[in-house]
Amino acid sequence: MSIVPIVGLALVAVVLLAVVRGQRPELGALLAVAAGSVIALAVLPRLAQVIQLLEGLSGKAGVDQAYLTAVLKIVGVAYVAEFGAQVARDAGEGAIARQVELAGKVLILVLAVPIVLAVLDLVLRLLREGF
Amino acid sequence: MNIDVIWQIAGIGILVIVIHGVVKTAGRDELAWLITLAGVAVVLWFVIRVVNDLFQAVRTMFQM
Repeated sequence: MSIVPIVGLALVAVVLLAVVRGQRPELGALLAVAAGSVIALAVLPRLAQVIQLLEGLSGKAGVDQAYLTAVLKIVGVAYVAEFGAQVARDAGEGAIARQVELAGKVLILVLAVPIVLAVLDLVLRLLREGF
Repeated sequence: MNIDVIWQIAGIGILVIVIHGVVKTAGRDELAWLITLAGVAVVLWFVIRVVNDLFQAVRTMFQM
């Protein structure tokens, strides 16, 4: 999937949105969600190669696979939370957007706890062994 | 890339706007409101399917 059809779709969606949103804001919001989802669906499969590459690199470096999975999960949570917050903000609901962002941050914090603990563990071990 | 859903949603939207205007001019305000509601429901059905596809893709991609 190259960039040209994606920009074309965005242009079509923007023009149609300009027609629909003026008369029916609720249908405009739904159309914006659909356009954003279609564009994201078009490029998301491309990311699979990059993730495979990262998995290969972490395997070569001897990093525990659980940490890479946690990082990927955090990226996914951040993306979905950003998507939801952006939709809410587009519809004029800034308060709900803030809450969605806060929920995303809390969930990311929970997912990051094992990684932080592992880093602290490593630092403590280094200090005890005296470099 | 599934651009059909964009056309479908925009078509339904424009159709709803036109029918709403015609029915409202005919003096049936409650019917016009009902048509708008039906249009929103149909479009919501389309959008939910697309968003479901997107979230499934994100879930498999980031191993959530």
